[in-house]
Amino acid sequence: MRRPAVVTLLTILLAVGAVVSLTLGKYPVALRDTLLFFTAKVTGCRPPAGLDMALLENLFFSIRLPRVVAAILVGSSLSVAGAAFQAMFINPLVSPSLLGVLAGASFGAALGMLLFENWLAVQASTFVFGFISVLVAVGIARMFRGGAVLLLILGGVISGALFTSLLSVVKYCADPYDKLPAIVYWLMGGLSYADAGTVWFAAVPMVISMMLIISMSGYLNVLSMGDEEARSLGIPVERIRLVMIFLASLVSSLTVVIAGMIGWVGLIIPHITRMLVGPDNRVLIPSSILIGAIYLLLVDNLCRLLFETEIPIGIVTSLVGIPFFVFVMRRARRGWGS
Amino acid sequence: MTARGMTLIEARDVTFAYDSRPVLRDVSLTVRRGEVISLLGPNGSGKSTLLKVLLGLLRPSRGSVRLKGTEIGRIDARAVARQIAYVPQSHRGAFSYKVIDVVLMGRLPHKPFFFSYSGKDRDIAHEKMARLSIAHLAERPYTELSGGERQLTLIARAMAQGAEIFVLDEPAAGLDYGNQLRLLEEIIKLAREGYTFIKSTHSPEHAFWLGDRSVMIKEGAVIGDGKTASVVTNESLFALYQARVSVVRINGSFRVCVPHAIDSHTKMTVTGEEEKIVFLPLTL
Amino acid sequence: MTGLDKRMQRHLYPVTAVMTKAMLWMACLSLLLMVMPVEARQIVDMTGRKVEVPDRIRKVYATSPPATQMIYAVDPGLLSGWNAPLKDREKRYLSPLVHDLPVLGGYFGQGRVANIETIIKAGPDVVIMWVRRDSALNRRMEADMKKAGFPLVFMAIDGMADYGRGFRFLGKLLDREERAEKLADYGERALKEAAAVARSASTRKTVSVYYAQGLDGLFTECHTSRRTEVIGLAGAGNVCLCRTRNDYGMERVSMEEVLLADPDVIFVQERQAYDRIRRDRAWRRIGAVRDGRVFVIPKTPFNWFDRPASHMRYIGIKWVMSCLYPDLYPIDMARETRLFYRLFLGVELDDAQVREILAG
Repeated sequence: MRRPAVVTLLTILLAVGAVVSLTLGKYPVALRDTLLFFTAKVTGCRPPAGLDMALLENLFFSIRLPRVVAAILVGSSLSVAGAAFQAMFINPLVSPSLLGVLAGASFGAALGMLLFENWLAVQASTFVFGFISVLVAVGIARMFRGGAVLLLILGGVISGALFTSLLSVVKYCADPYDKLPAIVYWLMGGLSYADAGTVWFAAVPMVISMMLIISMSGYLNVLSMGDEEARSLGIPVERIRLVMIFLASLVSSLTVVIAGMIGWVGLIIPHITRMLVGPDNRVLIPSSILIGAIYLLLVDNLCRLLFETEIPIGIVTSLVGIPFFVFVMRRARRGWGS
Repeated sequence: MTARGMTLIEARDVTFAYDSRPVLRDVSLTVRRGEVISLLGPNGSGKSTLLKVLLGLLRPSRGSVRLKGTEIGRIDARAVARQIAYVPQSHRGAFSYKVIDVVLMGRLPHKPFFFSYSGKDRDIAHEKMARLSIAHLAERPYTELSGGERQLTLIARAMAQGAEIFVLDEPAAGLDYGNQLRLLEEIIKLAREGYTFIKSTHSPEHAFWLGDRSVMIKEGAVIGDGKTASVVTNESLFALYQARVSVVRINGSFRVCVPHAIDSHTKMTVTGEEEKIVFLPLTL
Repeated sequence: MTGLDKRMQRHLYPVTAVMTKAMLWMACLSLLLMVMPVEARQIVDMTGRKVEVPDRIRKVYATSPPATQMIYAVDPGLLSGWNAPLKDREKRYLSPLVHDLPVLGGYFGQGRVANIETIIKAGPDVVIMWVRRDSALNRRMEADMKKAGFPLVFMAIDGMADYGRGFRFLGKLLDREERAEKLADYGERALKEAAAVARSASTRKTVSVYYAQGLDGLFTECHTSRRTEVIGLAGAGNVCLCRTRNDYGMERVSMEEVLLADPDVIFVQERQAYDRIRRDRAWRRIGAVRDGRVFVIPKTPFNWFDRPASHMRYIGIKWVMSCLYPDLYPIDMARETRLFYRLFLGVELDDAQVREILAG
């Protein structure tokens, strides 16, 4: 059976990637010291003298580890949300921002930064408005009957446009000396914004949501055959769609809370994954999660190591993702019914 | 165990409207076990809507649909799915799932919410595919099949559902001639095994060849319901399709339709009476 | 008589008509010229341009905050408007004269672009443009102001040493020479003090400074930036060694780079960032945090250090030095703050207010 093999392989790849990423960084640490540090940590033996344990502990666990975990969480969340949406809406151009969640969360972040001094309040605002924008999209869709999926897309476009405009209003109102630059830079996205507290706190709902999406991935297959067929098989189509939208919006909102707006991942990774493992969502969903995590780890390493200053992550995700996408497209022709 | 001839589905005075536009008006229909019902009607007559109402996918604004005596709206969707299966027109599909995975979807009405397919599910799926002679297609992508093979896959799925009533929405549309005939053969075979069919079609000849019963529906109302031979006549076909056609009986009971317009230059007098026609032997 | 008269009359009449008209026009014009105010004078602005400005300047509009602040210092009554809305916290330390001035916007990079009609409505007698190196914006500003007919005066300040010249220029332009002299004098003495302290500190190891901007403290300025001039003048060193990309700055750094740099002192703009730096485990290892040498930059009502970089750095540099060399420069910061605010901002501060200001 194919599924366990691919997923296992990807999991191993991710674990290796994570460990390697931990050893990379602008602060130079000799490989020997890294090994000694981790050996001491794992075995509990006394480390050799001359090894600044406190410094290394700070470096690895307080600085690098949260960032690596953030990259994994954000990459996997955006990918799985994109994959779920692409299956549900049977449309290759769909990404997690479809229902406006990313626009809403960005607006929430900007509004929070404008109004509050407390960072917790800003994060709450980000999260809440991510959801509100999805509610607006679903609400608009429900105002009209018939053609459920198409109207959801329309509702999402409207909601996204609405919150993007509101974001512009916030930017206009912001003090040009400190608030506005803070908002603008935040919106460019970046894993350097991820602080340990937020990462660990967001990890729990994100992981749970992803597990739930995986467990319902079989339904995505059926849903993609068509609403009526799915309903004739006894599937509660509307309910499952709403649950999926809820879970995908939850994880997407949380990615903005952690790291601002990061684009392209949710659109491209599901395609790449589909081309590698096929369209069966029971394999595709877990694979997207893993490939998305590996991808963002790779990209973030480039962002923080390549040049003197950190490159905004959005630039790298597009520059790396698009050619890679074309490359994979030529090698595997599986996926979209062709 | 349901006895042959027992009422399975009963639709009474069903009215259905999209917004304010009525699509079905006071339609009553009874489906008995083992019947093969052909649903004839022009585009927009409400055929698809009627099928979906019978499936429980659409709720009528007035009237009722009962499945084995119980209001279909009150039965759990999965329980309904275990009894009635929907076979839509075979579409190409956006995603190239494997054929076996498509057929396995038919097992969903039997699975709990967090499901995974068991060995038993796979056995059933393979069995049904073998029954329809498509077992060799199991690992192929669904989207690479021909129209006829796709339709058979969907029928296999319906069989895997364990349903005894199949509702087919114009299954022959888009199939080539050979595949259309092969599909009809399968339906006839399955009907003999006890399955019940409700099939919408544009071809009166298909209705004849499947025998049994026909229902003619025009502008949302039933204008004919009964044995095909008596319902599908020159007059009723004209009323339904505005087509001048003669129903011709050949060699006893086999019927074909001969359109007037195309046949205008031959001197055959078509009266609907029995014509004795010698079949030329098929030399292959 | 008849024939000649008629011919003469035919020719003579048009000529006389024209001549009479011309004489009437000239009379009108000269009358107008005599009535029109001719109270203008020509000045040379800080970039060497000759500009004609009214003799008495009652209202001034400056296109960016550093200039606006300088004019406020010279005489708050001269301002015709602010560049950005005042916060309530700021109003408490500003003269009531300026509380209700309109917000006219400005040209300084991000948002709040000036609406030319609002400026016309505010009716300044002269527009002072703060000239920076980026000249594309300058051209645009010039064109806008010329269209509206305002006399445009350029001010070019390159560094803190130039503020003295700037104040004196404003004094002459705005007829507040005595006042401007006092301000310039304070500034020059402050810079001399700084140079002296820096000299005595030069025998020690240079203090390394990290300037933390942004809500997470990981934005900073390169050591070549004019914004962090105070650090250099105080004899300390900015740990971020790089070349500024543009005037705006805001270079992004990573936690690891700061850890590697291990600054002795950190100056923080945002309160939020300050809390984070003091509290976060990741920052704990840094020398400045360990020694408790993390300071929030006072910014009420105007920033003492940067954003905008202005003449407030006269007190800013004293404050910086008191943080860097408490032993070499044992200044009574509270007293100095009161003095400065009395002189430059025209407000009397009580103890609570001084504490609030120094707490950032």
